[in-house]
Amino acid sequence: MEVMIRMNNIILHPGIILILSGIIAALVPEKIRKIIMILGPAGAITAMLALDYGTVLTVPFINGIELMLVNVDRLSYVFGMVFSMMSLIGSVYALHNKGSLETTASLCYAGSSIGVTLAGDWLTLIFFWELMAASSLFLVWANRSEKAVKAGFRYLLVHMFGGNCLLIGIIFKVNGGDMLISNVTAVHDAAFWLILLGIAINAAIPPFHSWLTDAYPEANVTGSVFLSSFTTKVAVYCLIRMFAGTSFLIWFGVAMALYGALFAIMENDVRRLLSYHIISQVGFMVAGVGIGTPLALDGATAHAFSHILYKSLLFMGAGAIITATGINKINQLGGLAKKMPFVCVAFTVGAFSISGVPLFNGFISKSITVSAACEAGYPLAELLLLVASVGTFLHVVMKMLYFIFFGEDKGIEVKPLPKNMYVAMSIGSVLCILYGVFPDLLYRFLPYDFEYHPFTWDHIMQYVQLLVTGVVPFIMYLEHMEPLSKISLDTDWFYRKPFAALVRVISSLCVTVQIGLGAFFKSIYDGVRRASKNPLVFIGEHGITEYEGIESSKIAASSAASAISGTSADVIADNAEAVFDGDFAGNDIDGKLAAEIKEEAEERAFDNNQLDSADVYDPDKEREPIGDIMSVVIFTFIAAAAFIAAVFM
Amino acid sequence: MMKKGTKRKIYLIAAVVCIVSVIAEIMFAHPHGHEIWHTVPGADIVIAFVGGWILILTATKIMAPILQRKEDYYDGGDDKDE
Amino acid sequence: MRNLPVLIPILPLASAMLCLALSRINKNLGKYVVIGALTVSFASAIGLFVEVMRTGETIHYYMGGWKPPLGIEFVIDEMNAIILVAIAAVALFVCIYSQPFFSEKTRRLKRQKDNSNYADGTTWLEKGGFYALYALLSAGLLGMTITGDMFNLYVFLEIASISGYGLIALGGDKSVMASFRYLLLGTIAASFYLLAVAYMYSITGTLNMADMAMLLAAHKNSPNVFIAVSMLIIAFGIKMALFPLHGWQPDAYTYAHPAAAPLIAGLMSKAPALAMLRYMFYIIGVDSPYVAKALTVIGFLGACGIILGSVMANAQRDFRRMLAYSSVAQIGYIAVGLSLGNAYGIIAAVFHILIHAFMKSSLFMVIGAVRYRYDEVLISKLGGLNKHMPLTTVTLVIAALSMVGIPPTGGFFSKWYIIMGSLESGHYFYLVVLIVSSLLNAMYFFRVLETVFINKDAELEEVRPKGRFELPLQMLVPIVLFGIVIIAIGVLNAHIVADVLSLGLPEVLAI
Repeated sequence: MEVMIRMNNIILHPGIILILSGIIAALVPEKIRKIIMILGPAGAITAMLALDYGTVLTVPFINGIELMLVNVDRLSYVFGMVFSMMSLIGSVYALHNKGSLETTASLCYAGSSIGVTLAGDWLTLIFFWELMAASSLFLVWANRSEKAVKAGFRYLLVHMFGGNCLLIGIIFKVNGGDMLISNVTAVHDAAFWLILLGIAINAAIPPFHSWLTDAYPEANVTGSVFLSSFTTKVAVYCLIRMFAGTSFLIWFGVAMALYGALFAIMENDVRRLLSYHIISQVGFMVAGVGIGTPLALDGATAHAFSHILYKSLLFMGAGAIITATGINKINQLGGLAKKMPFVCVAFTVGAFSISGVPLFNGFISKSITVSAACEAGYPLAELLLLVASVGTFLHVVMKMLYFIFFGEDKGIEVKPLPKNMYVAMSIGSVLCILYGVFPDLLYRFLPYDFEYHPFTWDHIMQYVQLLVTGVVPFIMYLEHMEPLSKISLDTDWFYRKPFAALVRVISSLCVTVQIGLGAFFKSIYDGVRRASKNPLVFIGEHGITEYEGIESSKIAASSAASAISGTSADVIADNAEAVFDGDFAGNDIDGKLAAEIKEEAEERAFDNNQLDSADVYDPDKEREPIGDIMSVVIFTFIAAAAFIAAVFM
Repeated sequence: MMKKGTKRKIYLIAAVVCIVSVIAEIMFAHPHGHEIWHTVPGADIVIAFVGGWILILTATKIMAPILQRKEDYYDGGDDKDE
Repeated sequence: MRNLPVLIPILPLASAMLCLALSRINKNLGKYVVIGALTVSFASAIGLFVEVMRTGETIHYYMGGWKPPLGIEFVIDEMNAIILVAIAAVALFVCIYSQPFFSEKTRRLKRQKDNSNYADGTTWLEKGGFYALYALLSAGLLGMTITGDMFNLYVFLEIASISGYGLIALGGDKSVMASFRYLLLGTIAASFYLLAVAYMYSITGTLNMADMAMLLAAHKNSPNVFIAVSMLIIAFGIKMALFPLHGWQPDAYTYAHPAAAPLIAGLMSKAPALAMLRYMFYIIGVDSPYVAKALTVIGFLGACGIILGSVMANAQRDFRRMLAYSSVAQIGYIAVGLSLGNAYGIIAAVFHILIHAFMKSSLFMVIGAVRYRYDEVLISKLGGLNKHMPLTTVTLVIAALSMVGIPPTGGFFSKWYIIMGSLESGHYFYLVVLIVSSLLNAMYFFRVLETVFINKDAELEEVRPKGRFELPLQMLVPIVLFGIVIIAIGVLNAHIVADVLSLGLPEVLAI
């Protein structure tokens, strides 16, 4: 068992260090902010290195429960390491940014991801999870374009929904007495499904994945690098910890891998293609989690580790292309190899890594998962994962490299890039190659004991054959491989089109109810106003005649009745429209009501001398305040009685 | 696109590499799987070729016509309020 | 020390009476007396809170030495004490916040918008009048919370309501109509309350709350209780703006005077909510069948209010009106918490009263500050606020995150407790409502944050002479302080719940 070492100071939590540096970065002037951007992540890496296995930090909470803010074991350590490394690389890449919104958002985002990783109990987890969602939202918005704003709102809604599901699932668990995070696979109860749903949304498991392909391409070039590295991998970490061995996840993972590959083949936007690719690779990890054997879990961990490094490298390369040329569509790019040689090399490193070319870090991690599938007895899954690997090679290496760098030269102008982007890309490439050549540097940190030797003839030949042969269909079909200038519909269609209409319907219903209630109270107001205007008419002798008071009383009665017993919106709407034209489109509805009342009040200005026969006897304008007062009183009591009756009888 | 000559060169290189790898696999590799594709040398070539074709065809012939739309498809009624 | 309970409502009351007269002598004297009275109230509330925590016993104070059930008594238990501190704090700091609105040094340079004719005169009548009404409102709210007598509650309820109507009517523009509407409905509410008290009095013969609780035990099934409960639902429903009786609230909060709106919006609906809690759980008791049904009704109405409020808030362009509809939703949360009927439900409701008072007041203070400087209340015009009013924006962000429910702010924890309560009592329907309303809340609050941070600068015209800081210190300090308090309540929520609220629960439901 691990020795529990108590951490004394919460400041040493690498996530807290990053969050604090993010907040400080918002307050300091520009030059110091750049220093903080480097110091913060560097401090986080140091703090991470200083944590030994078994370090624990607890704070007391309600009812004698303790919160375990930090729980370092092999799994959380390796993830925490790569997250802190990534925060440094991403910050270096983003050094040239002006304005502090993005810096704060990205550092807080990285910090809360580490917070989730190191969390030991459920409450801490959800705490940092929500912070992650909020900060990544601002990171998406930091691009300040209209598309980014809208994509950000969709991102927010999906993540709030996922976060709430997770919260409710967690409270189920906490209520049941489990405070500490543990594997929940055993019982498929409501808590299981809710927590799985919450995490699945963050892991972008289809059909809940469309936020990723929607929002990541719209963020800033430097923001996408951060975004691609954290949310999904944190979700994978949680899956490894909580859902290891849930066998249906295997098939979800395989489906994800193929789904991402297929959509990526169609896709034209550079970063959206890479986003579909994230889904594909996370599919490998999810399948590994589903298999559940130690080898598979190690594979998922290693794959996550490598994926963060090479995916961020790819996003950095894509970002460099977009910054330099201003174009983000593949079919408008071409022939950039000569003009941007460095980016081409870096991109190639990332592309080879992601496809699993030997000597790059994708190879050492992907093959673990595939072997684990085979060994655990899921040969079909293994086969499909291999096919998905081919797909990866096809559309990242072949398609992107060919059409962006080596294809026909379209005469694009290339602007020079800030130096820090080069530095960041170099660091990324070096790390990819380093782990690819010396896999033990990673293997020694993997959580479970295993035996695996990547550089066997078997594996190498397998991948060589796969990749080299995969080239052939691509070349044969080359003319048709160039992507079209179109977008693909994905599951987000469901909430962008029909659901939006549904929300509009519900909103108009609510507005109608509000107008109906307004009509009811307006009639009360009308009655009292008339009565109080001319109390002497109280003692008049005229019977109740047809006049507006009765009209509005009728409407008031029907609105009251319908408001209480809930008749259809149409009835209320009709009644409401009888009083005034309802304008549902978000205008100042009650302001309109007030304006109308004011208008009416002004028309019938009180004037003592107007109490003459013409006013009193005019059958069209007869006012009977007793009728008014009585109707007000009667309706209040009818309302109360109906209310009571409806409830208690 | 590519000239026919370049394509042929690539096919040639691919074929050579495949043959070399199959030979290497027969000589050195010790497969430890149970399924057919682990034991047959060069099985991965088939997997890659067939799999690659299936993926490309599915994506471009089946999925693309159904799912692809103009780039401004969503922009007409796109609401913040979902 | 023994007389602290009486100081809390009486001092502001006395200062209200004196304020006008003193303002005649010196324009600012009335204001300072009111602030002084509120400070003493705040200190007394803290003192009482400490006392109750220390001894763990409920404090009873008999007015004039007359013992109940004939005399009026003030009762402070753990539940009360912390709410008293909150009310006194909000009243005091919003009073400090309101000063620059009436100051000569910061007179407006021009009036440009329709919504800008709120009362801001510097004559003795206007100043004295405003602060007198303000002190009356504070006295009413404090009294409502501290009293242990049912009729006394009515008195303080009316004091609070009538001064509230006045403060709303001072807001210029359409405020008179809004206030009159609220007046009508509020009076109906107070009348229903009085009738309910009368019904209960008729079978027990006592007006003291603790006494009534004892004596009603024998009459649990009497039809009087039935009628009283239903009238109480209507009465408190109107006062706390429970759906469908909330129609007065959007207008009232929107057009209230900007200096008084934080107090009105933050607290005027909360004291009746606390009173409803008292009645349902302490006086009549949850073991009465009528109360059980009443709680179901309240819960359902609360759920409807949550949805309606959140949906309508999304449709608003005016920030204040959006906040008003958001209040309808938040009161719905409190109602749902009450209706759950278990310990977590009550804890959630009271905790939410506590945190919402600070959240709403700080949000209204923020928009009041924006109105103070720019005469602007539309959401779309808030672009770039973080550059011009950075500290105010910080509080805006904290309060918005709290209302959405993002840790570590207090709003997250009230969501947490409601969920725990719903799970324990098996009302899964409320979970769905909670999720939907979270999404809606996120929509309209993040829309504001997006406008502030992402949109380009709205370049608004300043209408006041520029000061050294973004706002006069009297406005800035309360705003920043409330932001800190929101986070503090969130971080300390464990202590608040365990050490305070759990101890004040009615005996039936002790954790």
